[in-house]
Amino acid sequence: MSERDESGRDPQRSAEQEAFDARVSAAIDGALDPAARAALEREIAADPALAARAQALHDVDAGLRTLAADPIAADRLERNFEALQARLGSPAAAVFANTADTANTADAANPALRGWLRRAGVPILTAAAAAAAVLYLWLPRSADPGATPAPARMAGAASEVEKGGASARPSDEAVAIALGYGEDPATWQLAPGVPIDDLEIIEELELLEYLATHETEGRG
Amino acid sequence: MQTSDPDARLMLAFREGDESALSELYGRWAGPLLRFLERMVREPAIAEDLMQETFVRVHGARSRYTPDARFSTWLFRIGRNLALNELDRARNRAPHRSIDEQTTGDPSRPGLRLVAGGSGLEELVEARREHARVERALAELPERQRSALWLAAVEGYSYAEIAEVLGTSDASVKALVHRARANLADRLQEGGEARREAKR
Repeated sequence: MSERDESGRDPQRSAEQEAFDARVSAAIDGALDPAARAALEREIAADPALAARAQALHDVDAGLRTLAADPIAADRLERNFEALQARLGSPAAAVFANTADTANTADAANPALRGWLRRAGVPILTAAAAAAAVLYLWLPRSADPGATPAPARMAGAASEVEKGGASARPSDEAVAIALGYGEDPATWQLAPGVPIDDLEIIEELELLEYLATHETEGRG
Repeated sequence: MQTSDPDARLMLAFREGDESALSELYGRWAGPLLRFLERMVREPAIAEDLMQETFVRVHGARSRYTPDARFSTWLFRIGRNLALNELDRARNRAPHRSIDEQTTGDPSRPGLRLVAGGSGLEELVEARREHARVERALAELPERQRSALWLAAVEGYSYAEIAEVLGTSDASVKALVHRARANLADRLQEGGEARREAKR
């Protein structure tokens, strides 16, 4: 690796190479006039080494945009919004809770109804609780009263992991979940559950271990 | 005052007392601002605090707000100034830690997006490694280069807008972005060569 000066500049790079990088960079940012851009394109087309360098500079932006394309979990932004509101002492607003807000608006629009609900609230709740208790005692019990149905996607993914290698190789989704990935509630896409820096070597070892275990089970 | 920037219009509405306008601005800009701040301070929890603080400052400055530039450049400038203060404080209170030590284990930390049922596992692991490599190389750049390049490549800001955020001239932004792009290309290339060498 070559030594760099304080600004990160590589002193071995010639002034000519620096000037070329600067022109390509300006072209990427749309800051090169059409004539200069056309001249640059001709230069790149005539020299494979320059073309490779221009591509490397271009790839930098593509790499950065990939970082920026990662979704930020909705609950993370929501949690921060709530904390912000607490700091500002302002009422809840409509950014994340449109449904709740609509209900509040309707409620606010009818003060008479709101007053009645407030007065009648305790007796209604008491009656509802009593009815629920009667139904609970009277209706036949299911095998597992504490069981709650899992969302279809997660249930499917979990059963894939539980099945392991019984049928064949587990799905990519199942392996990803086993490796610590979860579903981003904002997008329903798989997102990593561990920080990126931890995954250099451990990830491959875990993956091999996981596949080896399930392969053995499948054969057995 | 007329402005073509929809965010500036929201900020003006907020200045006039429309509280919901701040919520809308948060909905539009909290994510991009958080991503930018994470690249500056490299600690998700601190970036979140700074993001909140930025909106607190926006709230406090509303009566003085005038739409001289895009709202978002103003927002990013506040955020960056707060992040610089935080970096100064951190430098004074703790010894240097390498990037590798600065992981928090925060499960909500942004990472690689994986589309369910999509690419194979090998591609997935490789893409994730590439992602980490770009993140590390970016973190090694000097702060001004990192900020300038992020705003140009990700936010699509012009040199003049970046100059607004960084408090410098268009010409120096042009040089910063070019230098950052060249440095990052070199670092990624060197990393790629080292990895190919190690595999042999």
